[in-house]
Amino acid sequence: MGMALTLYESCREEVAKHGPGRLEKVRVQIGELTGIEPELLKFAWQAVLEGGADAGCELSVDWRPAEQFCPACRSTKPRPDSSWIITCPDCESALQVQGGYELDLVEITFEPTAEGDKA
Amino acid sequence: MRKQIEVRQRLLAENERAAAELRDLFARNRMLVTNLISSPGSGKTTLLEATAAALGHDLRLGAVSGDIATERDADRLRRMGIPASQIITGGACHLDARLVTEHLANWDLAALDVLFIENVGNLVCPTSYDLGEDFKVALLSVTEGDDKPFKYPGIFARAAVTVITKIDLLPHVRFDMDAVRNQVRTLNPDTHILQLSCTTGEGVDSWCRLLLNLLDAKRDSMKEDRR
Repeated sequence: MGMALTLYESCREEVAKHGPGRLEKVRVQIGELTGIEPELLKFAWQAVLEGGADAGCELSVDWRPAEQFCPACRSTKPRPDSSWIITCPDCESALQVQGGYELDLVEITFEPTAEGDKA
Repeated sequence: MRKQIEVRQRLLAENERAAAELRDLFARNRMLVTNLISSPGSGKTTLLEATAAALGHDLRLGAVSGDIATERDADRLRRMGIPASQIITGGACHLDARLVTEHLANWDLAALDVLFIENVGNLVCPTSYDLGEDFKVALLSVTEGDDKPFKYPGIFARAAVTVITKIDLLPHVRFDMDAVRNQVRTLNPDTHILQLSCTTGEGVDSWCRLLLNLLDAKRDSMKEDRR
C-alpha cells in the first residue's frame, strides 16, 4: 500500500512537470527480490486512485526475475520453474545472484486537461 | 492529445537520497551501523540485549527500534543500560531513511561506536529501504522453519550477515541446518552465517567478534581514505 502511494506521488510529480493532466496508464518494473506481488500492487494502486481524478488508470507491471550467473562459465543459468539452483549444472561452481531488485517507474501516459501545456 | 513519457526513475529515489546522507553522517561519526531485519519474534531485541551484556563495557552501543506501536523494545534495551529509543511507524511495516533521519536528530551520534537499527518485524518490505547502514543482518529462528531463505530470497540475498537464532531449541523442532545454510549460500555466497542461542549464550561470542572486526575494518578503511 505504501509502495502504491509512493508510486502515485511520483506519477503526479511527473505529470505536473508537463502541466495539468489525467493519468491513463503507468508502467513499472518490479524485481523478484523486492518481494512485491504485482497483483497486490495493482490492487493497492486502484485503492489509491479510487474516487480521485485519476481513477481507472491502468498499472502495468514488467516482472524482472533475478538471474543466477556462473562466474566460471561466464553465463547465466536457467532457473527451472523459478526455483533456485544450488550450484552450476555445468561446472558445479557457486553461482551469483544478479538483478531482481528493480523497482522503477518506467513510463506514464496521460491526457493533458488544459490549454497552455508546457511540454 | 494523449502523451506518453519515459520516466526511468527508481521508485525509491527519494529514500536513496536520504540514505546516502545518513551514510555520510554515520561515517563522519566513525560509527558502525547495522539494520536488523527478521520476522516478528525471531529474537532481534533479545540478541541486542545479549550484545549489550557482552559488549556494553567495551563499546558505546545504541539502538533504535522500529515498531508499528508500543515502546516495549526500547524499554527492554534501556534496561540493559544502552541508549535506545523507539520509532513508532504508525502503521507502516518498515522503517524508511527519512524517519530514521528525523529520529536521530536528537541523538549524540559522536558518543556511539555501534548503532543498531532494529527494523519492524517483517521479512519483505524493509529489504527495499536503505537506511544508510553499513550492512543488513537477517535473523531467522529455528522455530520458523527451514524453508525461509528461499521463500524470502530478497533479504537473505542482501544481508551481509545471517544469524540463525534459538539454536537451543534444535532438539525440539524439525530444522535442517545444512539445508538452511545451503539456501543462504545459494542466494549470497559471501554472507557470514552465524548460529547462536541467547538463552544458553552459545555463539554470542562469534557475533560480538564479528561486530568488533567490522567496526575495526570500517575505521581502518576511513584512515586510508584520509591519507
